[in-house]
Amino acid sequence: MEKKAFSFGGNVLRVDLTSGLTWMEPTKGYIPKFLGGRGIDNSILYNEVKPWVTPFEPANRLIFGTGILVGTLAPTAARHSLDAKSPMTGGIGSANSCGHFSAELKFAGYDHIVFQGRSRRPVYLWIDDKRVKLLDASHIWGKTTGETDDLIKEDLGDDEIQVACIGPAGENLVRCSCVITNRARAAGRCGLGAVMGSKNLKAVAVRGSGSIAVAYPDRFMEIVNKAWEKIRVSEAATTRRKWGTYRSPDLYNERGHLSPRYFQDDYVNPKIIRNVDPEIFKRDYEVRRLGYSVCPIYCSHFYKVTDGPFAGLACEGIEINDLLNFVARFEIDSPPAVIKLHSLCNEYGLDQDNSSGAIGWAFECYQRGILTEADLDGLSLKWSDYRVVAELLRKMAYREGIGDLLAEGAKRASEIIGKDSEKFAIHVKGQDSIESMRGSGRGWALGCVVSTRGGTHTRGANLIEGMGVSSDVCQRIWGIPRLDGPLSYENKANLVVYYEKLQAVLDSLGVCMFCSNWAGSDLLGPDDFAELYSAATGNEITGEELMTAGERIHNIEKAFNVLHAGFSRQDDYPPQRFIEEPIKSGPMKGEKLSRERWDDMLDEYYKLHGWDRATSWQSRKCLEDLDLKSVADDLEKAGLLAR
Amino acid sequence: MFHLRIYSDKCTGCRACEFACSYHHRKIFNPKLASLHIRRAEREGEISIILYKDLSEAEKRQRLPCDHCAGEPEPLCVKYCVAAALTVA
Repeated sequence: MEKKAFSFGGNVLRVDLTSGLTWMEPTKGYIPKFLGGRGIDNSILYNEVKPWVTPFEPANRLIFGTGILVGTLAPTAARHSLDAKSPMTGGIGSANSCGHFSAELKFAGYDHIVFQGRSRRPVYLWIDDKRVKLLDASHIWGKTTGETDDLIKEDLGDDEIQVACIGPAGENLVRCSCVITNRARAAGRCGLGAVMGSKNLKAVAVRGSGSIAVAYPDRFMEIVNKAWEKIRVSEAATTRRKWGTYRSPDLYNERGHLSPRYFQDDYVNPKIIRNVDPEIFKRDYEVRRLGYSVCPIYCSHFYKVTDGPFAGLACEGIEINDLLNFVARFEIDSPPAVIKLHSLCNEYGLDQDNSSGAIGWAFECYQRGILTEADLDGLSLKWSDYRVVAELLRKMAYREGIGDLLAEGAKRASEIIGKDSEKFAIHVKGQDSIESMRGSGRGWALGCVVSTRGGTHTRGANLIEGMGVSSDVCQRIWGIPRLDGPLSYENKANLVVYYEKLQAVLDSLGVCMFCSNWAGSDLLGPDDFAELYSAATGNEITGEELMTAGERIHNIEKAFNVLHAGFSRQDDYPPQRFIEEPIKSGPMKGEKLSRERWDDMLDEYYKLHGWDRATSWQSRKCLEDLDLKSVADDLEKAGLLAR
Repeated sequence: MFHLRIYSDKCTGCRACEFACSYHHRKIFNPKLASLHIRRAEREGEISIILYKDLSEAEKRQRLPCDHCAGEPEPLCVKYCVAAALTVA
């Protein structure tokens, strides 16, 4: 038998749910061009799913990918990517999560699992090292993610196996369904839980007992120690270690990042913010900090509620998203209610960002009289009423009553309802956006809008522009002369292109963005990751070469979007509301995005990528320079290659 | 010989100690070989740390007993425990 590559599990597991057949291929055939993780996932997706296939058809693929460093002591290497054609955007559906699932899968000997087809009855996949079986899931169908986790562990007689599963939302093809591991970690965006549901696949359970060996153990550990130390002393990592991602709500508010009443303003009444101070969560509800595979940042936490209407609630959470999605959007100022809403999303298997987006849109429709109690199953959608938000989450998950409409996401729902509600449905490429962009950094906004997966900040968006970085650091890391603060449009396209490449690298190595220079300039950069990659795999690579691989991955996703969803320049603009309606109150009053400056920034962004300014399409030269000739051929054949 | 102090309440469940321990024994990564085990009860949010000092012959086929990190300047499980759930007495 051929020896597996260092730092890899060794195999790609193939599962045809229609025939029930499973087989293995060596991962070696897929490396090193697209690295691993997200890179290999999306190269498989590009090659195997044709543009005419729709997201819920059996021919769509659902691909789990670990990362190259997962299963080693490389800090934060706990992540897996999940990729499919997205039911939210029709383009690349790509989500990423931490948890213990990814390393367990690698210890079982697999780097990726590729699902195709559709099972006739509900099933789950059980991987016990090399023994792989599809098992009946009819007794689990309909259960929440927590119940599913319990039942599968009971079925298999082992409470330490790792489970990735969908809840009722995924089963009911709610477009924004997610896939949950460890009861609370979500591969959230892009509706991949619904793709899993469309395949009648309830869960993947895995137990792995194998080992991961690296090419040069002593050298690898030396680099690991250096990286570990960098993270241990980093100011940015220390803050996250203390608070998690839910922190500094007052600062977020002053900077115009919190949008009450579904983006009608970008400043929340400070009284509301005081009631949900992070200190209150820490003091009254947090019982411990939580981290996943080899993470020295451990930004998560476990909460217990012992009093009031939610007494008995015990769950992992909350994140900064809860501040934007529930506290700000609906003006909910009760900490236990926020914990409850977070927990409901996880239990139903709903992506919180998207589902709260659609519900926010419905609230504004109600405020404007576009939707009435008669349309809303008798509900009054009054801001700050968390019970109504909870009820609408339930209705969405089961596609019950008005929930059936909201399950389509704000964009589609607004097109169905009409009455000008399309104008205030906040989405990018069809996927709900959680952030207002009027007060945010201009590079952050650009990164969100041009993201290949649609409206999210985990591609080219950056935090650095708000941090006051010296020109020396700007030159050394990003090759730009300076950064003039968040609201400046200058040099921001460079930052976006840099982080698009870096995020593709991080997602392919399986490490977290919080250990990288995305989170702070004192954290790990491409050269650090290249050293880890080289010592782990035995294939020497430089930071620059790693970033080129990141650019290749980003370009194959871009090509997928052009071929499948027809995205072009017009899809790279922020929601119109952020250009037309200025912020109404607070320190950022009057701010909005400038269409002209956006155009300049976009021109620069396309130029840096070597893409066409008028259409955003890729050129043959740009693709061939990245060793993607066949992609250029595909685009040319479809008439979608830049001239 | 190092003597470990275990504070399960501080453990975040990241299992870096298990990875490091298997590296100490075999220069590979395999938590199931490690001389300690992090048990996570995720529904309850509880975590316990189990240290294996003495193992039967049958158990030794599954995992390796703690040798107090013989030959290391400090126990590797302690070195990678940022949360200080494992310390040296």
